[in-house]
Amino acid sequence: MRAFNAIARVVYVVIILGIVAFLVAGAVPANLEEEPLTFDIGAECEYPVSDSKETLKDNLRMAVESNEGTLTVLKKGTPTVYVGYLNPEDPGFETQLDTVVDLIDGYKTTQPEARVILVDEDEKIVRQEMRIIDSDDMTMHIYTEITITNNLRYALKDINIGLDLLNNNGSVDYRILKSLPTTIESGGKTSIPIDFEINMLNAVLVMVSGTDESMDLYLGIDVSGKYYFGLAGVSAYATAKFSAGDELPPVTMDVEENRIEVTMAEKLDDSFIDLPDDAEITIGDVTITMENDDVNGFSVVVDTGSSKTIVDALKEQYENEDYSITVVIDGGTAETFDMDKEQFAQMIEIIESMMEAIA
Amino acid sequence: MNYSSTLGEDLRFGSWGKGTLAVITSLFSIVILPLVLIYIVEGLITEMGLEEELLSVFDPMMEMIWRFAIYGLPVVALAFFKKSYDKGSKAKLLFNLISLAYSILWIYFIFDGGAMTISVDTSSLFTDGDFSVENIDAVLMLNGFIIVMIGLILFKMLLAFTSYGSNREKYMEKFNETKADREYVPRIKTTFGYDLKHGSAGRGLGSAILKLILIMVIPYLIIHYSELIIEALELDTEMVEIFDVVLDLLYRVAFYGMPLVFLAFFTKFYEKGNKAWLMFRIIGLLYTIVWVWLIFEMGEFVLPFDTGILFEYGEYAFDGNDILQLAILIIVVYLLLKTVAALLTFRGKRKRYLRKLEESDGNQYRN
Repeated sequence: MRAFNAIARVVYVVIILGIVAFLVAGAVPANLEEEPLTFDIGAECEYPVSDSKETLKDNLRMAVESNEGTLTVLKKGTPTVYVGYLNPEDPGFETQLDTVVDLIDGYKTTQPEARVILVDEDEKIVRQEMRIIDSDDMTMHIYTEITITNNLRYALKDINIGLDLLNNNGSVDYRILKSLPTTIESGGKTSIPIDFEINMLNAVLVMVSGTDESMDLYLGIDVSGKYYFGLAGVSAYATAKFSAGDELPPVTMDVEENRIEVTMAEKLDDSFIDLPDDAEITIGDVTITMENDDVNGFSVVVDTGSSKTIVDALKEQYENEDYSITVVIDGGTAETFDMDKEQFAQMIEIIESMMEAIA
Repeated sequence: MNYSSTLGEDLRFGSWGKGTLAVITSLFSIVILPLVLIYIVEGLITEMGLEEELLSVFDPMMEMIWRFAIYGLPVVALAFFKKSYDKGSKAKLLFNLISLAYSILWIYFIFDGGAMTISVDTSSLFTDGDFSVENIDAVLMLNGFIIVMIGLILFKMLLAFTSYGSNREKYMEKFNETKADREYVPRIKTTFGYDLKHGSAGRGLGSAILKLILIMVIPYLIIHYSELIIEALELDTEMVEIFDVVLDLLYRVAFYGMPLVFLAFFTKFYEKGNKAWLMFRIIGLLYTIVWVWLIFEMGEFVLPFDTGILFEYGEYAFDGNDILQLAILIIVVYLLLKTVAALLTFRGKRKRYLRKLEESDGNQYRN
């Protein structure tokens, strides 16, 4: 028994030492001169020439702001073709930008599949925090990448990234991005694409569904992953706020099953969403009228124009698989957009949540 | 080993002293030290003016330490029973198993069931124009580690059985000895004069030599070769001044420690239970208090450097010197407790001393 006891104790000590060594080894980077983990958010500055001039201009402006010095615009190919240069320090920067955008736009007819890149003085493609992907007026499509370098000794497993659009009290939230689980091996570097679309109508509905008087829009950033071969993990949720403005006047909400009216005596500044001065959106039997100007302030009215409830009217259209909406912005011509099935379902869900929250 | 004690018998063979010491040490390590740590960290954060930024980050850690301390109280109580019994005792095995089983619950409570939540208000930290990060909620998932720890506890339960099995024989020898002591009715008496003449010079000498080396030889060597030490360590002027104070301290350790060498000889010279042992033991402990008092210049000793420690509590402020005085006071209280323990030990061992004396040649002491 004594020998067995001695052996068992030795085994126990060896296990304890092994666990301590395992934990310590996992906490210390393989190369002590490196950070254990490095994160970089950004995507390479590469754009299709088919993008609208407005999108190209926005992207180029953001890219120039994210980098220093003079940047050169090249059309991709073998060899590359010089398009122009951009120097934000130059007083004539706006002219440079317009010229470059016009030149890129010129390729639309001759080479619609072509792409342009932005390079620095070393001819290396520069990066920007995020890139707008050209889409219609109702959708904001953004692309970026999170690049994670794992200098730790064990793999980071099941890295998941999610993005939610929320109102202030969390009564409405819907997921706009869900990444695929990713594993980053020790010493490895992985870029996780962050490619998401925000339906602007849904975003406005989320914003007005809040219970406070701030009219702020929230973005939930959900990151989770496992370490130590899955023995430990973390799930973090950060809530970011896009403020609509400071010290806003009181918001009045009048909610009935067939009519929702949200009003505020002051114009809402653009923050995350570029709000038009005047918009009328028709979704089947439901009309959404939005005003946002200095004279009348901000208002959104969702109305069926009959005793039919808003949710029933929208559900009826959803069941008929008609996801189209007609939009008239600032008194312009009517445009019809097709929401996808998921976005339409999300819109119904947001309105139902608003009804429940206020009831 | 024919007779095997029952659990009931083993339960009566515990040591109050060992149990109390275990309670004190585990109370210190499980409750007092963590709470002091919380107090220090909170004090530092407040002193740096970072309450708003850091307290919410540290809150989950503080809560975890609180759970460690509060749910650790049963572990402190069980430490008494675990340590008061010897290895090989059925009572020790029982309390070891209870304590280990409770440890599983304890770990579960400490780590909040394996999912520790952390909430940090970041509204004042990350702001950029219209954009701000309001808060970060994180959940640390430690289920895997909890399972590993439970595995280790189960392994320790196995070790409790193997330890019991391998020490049972030895324990039974001690058990029978102690049982014999308890059942023994002294038929002899010894005088102080008799006890004074009966000791072991070998044991006494060993203890005296050890004390001589620790208390006198080592300090003497450091003092004697101080110049060489300063040179080897390349101490600057400020450090030399501190070193000089240390040398003075060592001088007092050696000079006033001389009586302790002699007392160590006489204390070990006699067996526990011998009246002479009790006398020298008590004199030794009381003189140790005087020795500590003399080393630290009768409470006038001042640290030769600024420790940078300053605790403020209301109108009171405590610096490094106050903490040193407190440490000296704790040592004195500890030595006084050891003096009381010496009296209890004497009482406990007296019967064995007399029994052995009687077994060896009791006729000459018989009443």
